[in-house]
Amino acid sequence: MIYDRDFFFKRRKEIGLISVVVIIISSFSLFFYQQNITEQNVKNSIFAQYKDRQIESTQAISEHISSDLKLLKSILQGIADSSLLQQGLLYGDRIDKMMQEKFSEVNNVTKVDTIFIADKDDIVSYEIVSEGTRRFINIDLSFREYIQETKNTLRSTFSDGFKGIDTIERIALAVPIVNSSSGEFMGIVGVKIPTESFFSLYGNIQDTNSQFLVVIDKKGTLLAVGADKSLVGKNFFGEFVQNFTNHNPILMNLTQNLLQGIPGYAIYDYGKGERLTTNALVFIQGKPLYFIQIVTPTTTIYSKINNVLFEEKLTMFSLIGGIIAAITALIIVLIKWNSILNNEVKKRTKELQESNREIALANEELKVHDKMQKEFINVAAHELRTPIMPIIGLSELLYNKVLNKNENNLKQETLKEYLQTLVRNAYRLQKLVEDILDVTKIESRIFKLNTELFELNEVISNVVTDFENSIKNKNSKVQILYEPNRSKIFVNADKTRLTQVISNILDNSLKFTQEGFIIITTRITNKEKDDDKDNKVIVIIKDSGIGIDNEILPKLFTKFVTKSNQGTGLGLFIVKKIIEAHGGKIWAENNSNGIGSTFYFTLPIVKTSEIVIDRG
Amino acid sequence: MTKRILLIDDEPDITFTVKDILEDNGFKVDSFNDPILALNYYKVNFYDLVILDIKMPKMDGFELYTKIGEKDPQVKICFFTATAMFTEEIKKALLTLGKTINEVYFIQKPIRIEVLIKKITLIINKNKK
Repeated sequence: MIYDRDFFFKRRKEIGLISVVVIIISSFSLFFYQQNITEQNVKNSIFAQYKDRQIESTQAISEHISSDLKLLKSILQGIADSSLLQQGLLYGDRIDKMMQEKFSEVNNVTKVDTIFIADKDDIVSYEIVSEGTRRFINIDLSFREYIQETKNTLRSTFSDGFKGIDTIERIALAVPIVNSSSGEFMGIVGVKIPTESFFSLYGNIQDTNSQFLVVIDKKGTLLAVGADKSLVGKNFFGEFVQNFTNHNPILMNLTQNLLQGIPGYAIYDYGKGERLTTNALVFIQGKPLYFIQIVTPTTTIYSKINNVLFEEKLTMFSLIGGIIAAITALIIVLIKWNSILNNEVKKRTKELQESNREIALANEELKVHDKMQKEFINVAAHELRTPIMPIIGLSELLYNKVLNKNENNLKQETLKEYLQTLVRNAYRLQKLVEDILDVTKIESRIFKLNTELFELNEVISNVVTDFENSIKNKNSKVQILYEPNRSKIFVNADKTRLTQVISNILDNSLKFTQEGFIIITTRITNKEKDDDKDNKVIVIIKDSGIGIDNEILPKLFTKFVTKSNQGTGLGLFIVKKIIEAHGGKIWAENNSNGIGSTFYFTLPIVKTSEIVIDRG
Repeated sequence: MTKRILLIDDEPDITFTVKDILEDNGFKVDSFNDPILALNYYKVNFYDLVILDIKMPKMDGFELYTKIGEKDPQVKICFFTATAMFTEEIKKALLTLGKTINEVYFIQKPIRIEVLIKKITLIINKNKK
């Protein structure tokens, strides 16, 4: 469990990165999968829409053509019903004037290159042609089917396509001039319309590569063909056109249906690319007169669809890209956040561990201190009880002897020895009590110095004098030598405590020196020799005794360390604490010549100049 | 018959005092301040009681107790100590020697003469171990 957590913990960056990659890959896979499924549907649907629109527009074009042709017819009807023609006037200036007006009016509607009037025998009596068109005045038109039909039915007639001498394919509209009162046929007024320029108004008949228009008449003659100009005037079902379309059965079927009045659409390819063709019929007076086909190369449709799809894809792609970027940013933020939190937790944990460690350490110190305290009490108790034994024992013994008047038994010498022992142990007890009180003060940190300014040589001399006197009394073979420093040494210290320090050290030296000397010297430190910033005095106490036991030396200044039969083992401990309280140091070493040992302690000194100022 | 006592304590003032007290009360006393010397000059089947200090340099009371016990298995030995009586540490120290000792055999310093004599008499008159 912990292992797993550690694993994820350590690999969180990699896992984050992998997550991002997985999210990106799966997003894109899903996106492309969905895209492929829907793309075909969208294509089909757009194509269907396109086809429907084309059917509608084909229908609209046919209606447009139909309405234009109707307008043309009504203009011609107006000419036929005009008073001039009704009066039988079929040419002349007045006719010319009217016809010029009408010609331009007609040409406003659509492209007409000839307007003519024929008499009742079909002879052209008047004619206006547009520039570059041949005139046919006095030509007999009776060979034209539409002329015959108009004459026979007395109804206006739209012709199928026909070719003139100039090989331009035309259709014609003929309106009979019928006397409004007698109903007598008086002639025909008609227009000829070049099919290509006429139908080009409604659709592309030039460019085969884009959507184009095809117009067919009732007989199947092609009046306008965007696919190829050479096909104009040819019959759709004829060899020429069929060769062109490679006898495509779908197109053939579609066109047959169209001519039978059935509109529709088809998709086919006769070798020049897939095409979508929609049909419509141009009705005049309820009859289908012309048939139109709108042909679109499907590539143009698909390119449009692809454009739409591409735009759609681009939108989706940006959307997904945006989402991925947002998620990635979020994950990065989360990883960053996690990392920050993690560091914070680590920091806190470390702090906690540190503080736990400190507490444990403090606890350990307390335990050690507690143990030391117990030990101190045990040792102190032992040390205190020991001198009491001779005091109680000997005083009781003396008392008993005095009480029993057994004085004969008590020699003078014994009495003296008893009293010496009693006094010695009483002093020992006193010294012990003082030392233990000092130690207790030091350890409970209520130890205070009563400092004053004094001259160190004087104090040392006093202590030495006291010791010399005591030595004389004991008949000791030890000589104490002290040569005071030539200059005065002022210290700001506790005189009593310092006396105690020197006494204790001398005491100690004396204890281990049976014969020889104890030499006390002082020296002022200096920068060059001692590398000491502040001036200090070093007090040196050298003896010729037995030296310090190597086992004792490292713990010489700790409590209850002693090799002597007398002494508490507290003296040097107290000495060290007093020196340290003065800001000094104390140490000891065995002399290099192997005889005796030397104690050193330092004290900060007060410069003479400062003393002068101080005294004002 | 005069009872013989061997007294061993590193403090000369103690041996001096206790020796005089015991002799004043009719005992015959040999005393040593050095445990090694005491062991070297030990007289087997001579003493009625050996009194040992515990805290001594060179050889402590427990070691001396064992050594004397080896030399003279019949002799009675008691401890005479300024250490608090019968502490856990002393019991433990004795247990490591494989000994259990009756509290009677512990005499604490300082002690009044009357009490000391009573205790010593009691120990000497006790049946042999």
